[in-house]
Amino acid sequence: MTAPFLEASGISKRYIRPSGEIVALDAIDISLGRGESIGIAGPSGAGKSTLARILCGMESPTEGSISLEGRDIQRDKSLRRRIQMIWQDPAASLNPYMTVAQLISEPMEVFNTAGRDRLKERLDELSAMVGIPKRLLSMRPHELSGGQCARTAAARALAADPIALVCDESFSSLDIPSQAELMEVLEGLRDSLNLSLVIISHDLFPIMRMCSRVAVIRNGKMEETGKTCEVISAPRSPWTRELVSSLLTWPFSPQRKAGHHLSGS
Amino acid sequence: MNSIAVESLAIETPGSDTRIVEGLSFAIPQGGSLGLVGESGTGKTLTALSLCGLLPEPLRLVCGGMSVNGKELEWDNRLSWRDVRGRGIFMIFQSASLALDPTMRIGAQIAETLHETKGLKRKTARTRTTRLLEKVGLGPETERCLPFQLSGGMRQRVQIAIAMALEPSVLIADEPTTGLDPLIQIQILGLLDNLRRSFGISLLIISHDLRVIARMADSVCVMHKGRMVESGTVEEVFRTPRSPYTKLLIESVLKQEGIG
Amino acid sequence: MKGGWASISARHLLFALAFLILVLAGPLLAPNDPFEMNLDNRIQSPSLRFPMGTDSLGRCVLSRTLYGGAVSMGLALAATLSSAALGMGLGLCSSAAGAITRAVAMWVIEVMLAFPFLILAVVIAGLLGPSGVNTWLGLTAAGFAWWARFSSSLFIKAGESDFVKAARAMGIPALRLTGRYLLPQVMPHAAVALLLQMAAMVTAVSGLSYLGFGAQPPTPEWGTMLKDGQIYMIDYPWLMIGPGLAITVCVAAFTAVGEALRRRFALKPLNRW
Repeated sequence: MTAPFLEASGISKRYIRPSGEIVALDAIDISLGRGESIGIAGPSGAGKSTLARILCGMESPTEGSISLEGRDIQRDKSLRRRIQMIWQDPAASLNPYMTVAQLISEPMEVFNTAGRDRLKERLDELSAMVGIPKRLLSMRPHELSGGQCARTAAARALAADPIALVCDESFSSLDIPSQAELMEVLEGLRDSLNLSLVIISHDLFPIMRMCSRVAVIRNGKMEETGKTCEVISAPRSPWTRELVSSLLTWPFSPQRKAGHHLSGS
Repeated sequence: MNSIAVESLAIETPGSDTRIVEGLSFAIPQGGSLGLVGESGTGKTLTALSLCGLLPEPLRLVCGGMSVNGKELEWDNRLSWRDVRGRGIFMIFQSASLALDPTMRIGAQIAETLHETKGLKRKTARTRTTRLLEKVGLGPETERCLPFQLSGGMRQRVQIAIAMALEPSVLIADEPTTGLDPLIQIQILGLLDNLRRSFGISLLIISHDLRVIARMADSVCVMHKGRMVESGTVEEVFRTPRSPYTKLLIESVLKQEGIG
Repeated sequence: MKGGWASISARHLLFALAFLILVLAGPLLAPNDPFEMNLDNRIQSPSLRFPMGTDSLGRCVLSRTLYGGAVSMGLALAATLSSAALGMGLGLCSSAAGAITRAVAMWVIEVMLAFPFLILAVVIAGLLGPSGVNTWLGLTAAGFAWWARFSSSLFIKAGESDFVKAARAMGIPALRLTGRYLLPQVMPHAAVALLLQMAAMVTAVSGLSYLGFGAQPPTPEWGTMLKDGQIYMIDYPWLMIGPGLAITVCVAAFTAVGEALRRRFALKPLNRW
């Protein structure tokens, strides 16, 4: 594991409501190396989305701090741009009145990450990186498939020149082919650009496929954390065990068929 | 006997030649289950709505023939749908906000259904309601709740409780577990399975997730762009897919699981 | 939002065309000078020379009706646009403001809306003194409150859509956010409201003139013409038919096109101002 460069320590978030105090997150520690991906799993209402917003600097934690390359993102607002979010519903997070080209170029114009003269060049680069063919550039989100919208959202996030991406349930609104598409794109980006990924998902498949480590959160508390393969194959907490055992897997997979073959012969 | 049999169902928009859905034929035997699988935007939900006679204007259902419980249905007659909906065919939605009255307490909604369809007295209806909610794993405190106070999984349970109250011949479940975490998903699927086994209700389950179909259905129709590309038993179709599109779908499941 | 233009039928377009001809080509079509008085020709019945007869000062009613369009419609258009611009500006500000500021602003707006539109316009125009400009000021002052409330709720709703939240989180600047994210969502609603309010404003302008607050003689204006013709109504009805018909066609045209556009965008009916 590389040295942690995105580090969240002792993150707590409490809301005061007339009915009393609500604890959304309680002392969560997460650290992530450059080019690494970590999964955050847990049921709905566990505080995953709150954590995502805090990691992106959109909300400040009641306690605890987040540092990127040793600098506190709460203090240094310019760092926020370096952690971008891919939203729950990638298609709905795109402005329907803008073309794909405009959507991808906008962060470059606003943050001046490419320079005026390199805009077009960078647009082509980014769209090639996420696999958006040229003919799609003049289309608007409603003309695109779910997978293409997800690719556009990824390219738009990249245009802000981030070093980490947070995916907040970005997979749950997509059908399976589009999910597979987005996973491939994100893995490609992580490996080619050395991006760090935080994959927040209630479904374990995206995490199992993409992340080397996983943190299971429940009721705002860290339930279990460790290497993904270890947590999945030998969960320590009873709740995680139940979660893993409830996972629907594909019963007709080649391996299983092969295994069936062996036992048969 | 088939609970429902549909011959070449199509959905068309007036003034346009292209049909949104075309040539869909299937039959579900009593207590059987059929899965309808395909990408989003392929017309699965519209098919489901058309089977309840609930297509949004200006879409129109065109059909070669449809029978429910062996009785021929006049699918082009609005009034005849009224007899079928509820007791014959009932549908539970992905977003329960479509199905539940947002201003009515859960207990009252279910009791109302029992009162209206089964002719139960209000008081007996209320006790039945408590029992139905218990069957789907919800405590009596749920009765006092309004739909927005419940989580997605709980609302699915309420919908299933209403289905139990109605005991329809065919239950259509449109993406019943999409957006739910695996723990809740498996519980909801278990409830639906139970509904089929103990009430003999036929199930038409619609999902983009092949795993849900594989877990729940006996036979499957694969849909692509409003057309049926392949159908057969789950075992046949998923183990030895013939259509390249089905192969593609299965491949993406394997990819998503990190196997392919 | 694709297709659906078919819902705007030929009937609506015909209406729109009728009003356009009336206003734009009006002065060209007029057979006579609308200001030329001829006391020998007072209150003549329709003839070849004066197709709609003449008024009490011997002026051609048809010519005055055709010229009057520019004045009535011009005033109505100016009042609609200015009240919309003022109101939508306020609506945008209040939607961006904090909850308390917004509540106070909306409370003030609600109080203004408690007065019927036309009465408020009459009071303001009356206080300012009768003239065309004051009519415009009065109608703007009476009309902007509705726009503020209408657009504020639209801007709030627009701001709640996922892609606006995403853009805000990304750090897209406020001006760009307004121009490229919020306004495009509000525009269809605003366009429909503009057309429908135009219809109301035409009636209001004529109404104010009829009451003597608006355009002053000898300017040809539909409301003023109605008032002038009123005394002779029983014996010489053509004095009122011209301007009356013009107002009716105008209001019908704007309402029809506005309603058709509303259905085209599948928007909810608007409540009255």
